[in-house]
Amino acid sequence: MSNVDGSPLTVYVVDDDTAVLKSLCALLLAHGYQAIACQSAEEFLSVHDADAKACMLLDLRMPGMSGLELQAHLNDLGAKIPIIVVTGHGDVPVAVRAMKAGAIDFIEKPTPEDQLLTSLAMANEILNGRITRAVPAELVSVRLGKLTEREREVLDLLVIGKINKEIAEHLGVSQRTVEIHRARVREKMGARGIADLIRMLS
Amino acid sequence: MNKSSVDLTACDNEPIHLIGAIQPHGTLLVVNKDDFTIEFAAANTMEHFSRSPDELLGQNLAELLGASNCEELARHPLSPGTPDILQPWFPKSNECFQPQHRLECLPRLQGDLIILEFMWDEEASTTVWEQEELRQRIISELIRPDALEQLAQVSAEIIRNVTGFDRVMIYRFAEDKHGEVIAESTVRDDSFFGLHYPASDIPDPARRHFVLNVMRSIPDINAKPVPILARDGKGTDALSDNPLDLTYSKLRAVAPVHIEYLNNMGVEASMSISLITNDQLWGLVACHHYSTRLISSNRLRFAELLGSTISALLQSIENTDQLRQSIDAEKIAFGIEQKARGGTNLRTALLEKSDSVMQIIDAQGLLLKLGDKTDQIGLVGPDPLELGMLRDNAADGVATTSHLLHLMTHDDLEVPAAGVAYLELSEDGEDYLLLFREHYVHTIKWAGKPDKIEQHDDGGQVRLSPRGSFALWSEERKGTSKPFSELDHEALRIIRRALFALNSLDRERAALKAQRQAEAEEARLRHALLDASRSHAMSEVAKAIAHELNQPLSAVANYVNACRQELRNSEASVSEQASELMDDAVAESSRAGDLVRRLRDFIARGDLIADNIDLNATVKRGLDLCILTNEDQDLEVVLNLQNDLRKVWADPVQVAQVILNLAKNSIAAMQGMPDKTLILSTTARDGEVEVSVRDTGHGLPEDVKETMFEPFHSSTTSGMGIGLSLCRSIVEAHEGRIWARGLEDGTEVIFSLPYRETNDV
Repeated sequence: MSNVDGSPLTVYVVDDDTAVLKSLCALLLAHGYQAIACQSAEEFLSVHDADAKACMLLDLRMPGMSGLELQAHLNDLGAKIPIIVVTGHGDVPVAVRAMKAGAIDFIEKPTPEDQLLTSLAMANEILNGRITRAVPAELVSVRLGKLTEREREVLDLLVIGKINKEIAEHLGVSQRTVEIHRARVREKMGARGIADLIRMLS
Repeated sequence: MNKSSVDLTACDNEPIHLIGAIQPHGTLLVVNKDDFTIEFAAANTMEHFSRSPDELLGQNLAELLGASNCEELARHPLSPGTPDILQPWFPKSNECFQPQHRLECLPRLQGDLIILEFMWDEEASTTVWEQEELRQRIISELIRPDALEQLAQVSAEIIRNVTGFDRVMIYRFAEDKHGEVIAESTVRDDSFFGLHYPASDIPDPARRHFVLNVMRSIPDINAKPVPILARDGKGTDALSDNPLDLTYSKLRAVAPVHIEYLNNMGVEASMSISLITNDQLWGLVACHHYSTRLISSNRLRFAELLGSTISALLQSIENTDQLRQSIDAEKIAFGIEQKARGGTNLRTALLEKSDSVMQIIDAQGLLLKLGDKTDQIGLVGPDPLELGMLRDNAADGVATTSHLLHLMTHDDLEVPAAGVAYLELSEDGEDYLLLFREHYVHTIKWAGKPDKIEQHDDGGQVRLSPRGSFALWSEERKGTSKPFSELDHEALRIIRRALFALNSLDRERAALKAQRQAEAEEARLRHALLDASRSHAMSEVAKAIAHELNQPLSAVANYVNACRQELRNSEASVSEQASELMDDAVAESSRAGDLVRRLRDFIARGDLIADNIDLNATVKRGLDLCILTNEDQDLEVVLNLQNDLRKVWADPVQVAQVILNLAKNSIAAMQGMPDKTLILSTTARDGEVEVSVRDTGHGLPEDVKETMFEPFHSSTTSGMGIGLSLCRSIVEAHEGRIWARGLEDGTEVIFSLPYRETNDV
């Protein structure tokens, strides 16, 4: 992947776990990105070039300044760097908050390669001004209109970070049923994953 | 003087004992008690001793009566004995004293003076005492009655028999001092029985005299009073230089207002005997004659003695009545007490006995207030009732009024109850019993309209005059209940005493129960917290394991993917089998991640049960729990909680858990330190509230500060290092933050919780 001018896209990888950090960088390099490893939010702030076209893979759980704090700080600075959130299990509510604060996507670990590449491609498109972050509101409402009442309920719970088990308990149905509803919702909304759904509804 | 300003009770102030005159049916001398010099003499001594006052005043009594009589007088008792009757003295004839008739003298010591009253002794002194029939009657009839009215009737008849008056009446005075004729014996056609006499008929000074001087005889209302002269030849009334106190005089002249009063009734002679119980003027025996009537002194004494007897009997009957009512009250109180001790609550026990309680004081309604509950039975008073005045006037927790209107905020005659008894059932006045009495619509038959009529005398001075008419004058009274008597009060006090004691017991029980409930609730919370603590710790372990395993799994997948991509990039030939193996490696790491996720979801329970909570109370609860398990005696705890904290949306159990963990860490960090102070504070900031837990422990190394909120990084030697990580999870689930600061003399951990509009946790 590369920019319009042909130079590779810079991806800052911010994660406190060395193995994850190094492996992600290796993967990105293999795919032609210029990866810059940062062991902490503080390190990112010290090396980051505000003028460069770059995106970021951000771990939310870090000692010192957390991922969310870093994001808030960047928002305060007016930095436009697209952020792809990389989270562990169970951090979905935090990821939802990150999405609301402007992250373009989130990926759960272990990171599926194809999903990672798709997200980075999206970041690139955004940086090149070829797409806007938002799906048009009218399109969203057309899609929402296709949902059944139950599907809408599932959607509303999904976007506040509830996991299948919680949704099943909340609605009094089996987890399997929730999975089916989820699939239909994704399909009707034209979403690849929950990140898309959150983006559309925020 | 303005007419309207004349006080009809003005004669209450008249000094009737300083009237300075006696009635003419006897005479009076007053001698100095030391040398018997005659200091005062009635103007009529000539009639009795053939010596004028001029001749007697300043002389020694011995010159009149002879030395032997004076010696006898000196030995004679000069004060009343028991019963309260003066012993008469009979001066004997001698060489210088030769009266035409035998004289009876009543001598009485008064200060430095001896007052000597002389009357003709007309009858053989013992005659009346020896009348067998009379004695029989007194013994057989007077002693028998056990009701007041019956005793009064018998007494009236016996006294009329002994004295021969046309009419003998027994009055009883009510609490407002007005009198009612409760018995009458008369030869006349008209009857005064059942009539009421206004209190003003007997002014206060007269009442005092009735108590001090039990017997009063006026043989001739219109007899001209005889002035008493002092040694200077002048009068001795209230306005003179030498007023003479005639309080104890039998012969004392009649006050003009009384003469007019009796004349208005057509009475020419009268006699009265005071009926005294418990040192109070209970009533009067009033004897009227419609012509003059002189009663011999020994009959008078007999009547006087009879009066004392009747008084004693009255007192006994009254005491019996009181005892009876008291016993009834005790019985009722006992009945309620038994019920209550048997486990019935006071309310039920009392309401079951409400009829007897009302009956004993003749009440028709009841209002019981115990705690928040109010019960009403029968006739009740207005609502709201101003109880302040009753409370202020309560004696032994009991107060009554027969005039409920006084306690009302608005006049409303339609209220069915007119009187109320207030029984205080708790120290704080919160619990009480009210017993209501109905309106006492009753007609009082007055003997004449009960107003005195004022008249102007010649000098233009206002003088009072009693009413001229005793024609029946009826008055209907409304707006009040039957008055509460002393007997009623006693019964109320007895019942109140029992109820008060039972209520105190009930209240103690209730307080104990409330305390037990509070303790049980506290224990339940503690258990919930410990439970939560355990399950949180487990969930935190699960999360931590999931996280820790996930990282290398994630790295493995990345590396394999990177590896494959690098191989593609280098265009090296990769066998299909090797490519599949790499795919398998990625798929397996992904499966392992899934397994970990499932394990974590199975154990973890991340739900918040949030509410708007008082954070200070939660901080205290968490601290209490920590202190509970702390055995360190040296620990000093300081609470700096901001008073006016807004409520914050949070899960109280989980937040208490955070406090508990932080406080535990702090205490552990202070082990072995000389000063062990734990400081907890809450502070409202912009949009959030901060809670700080601070210790005076070993402080915080920089490297620990970086990782202290990560799982498995225990800074303390015990435990898995889950505590702080758990704290972070909980705080973050509340969308709050947690951080630590190393201080020169310890560590401070602070977390903040945001104020939120909604509950979308």
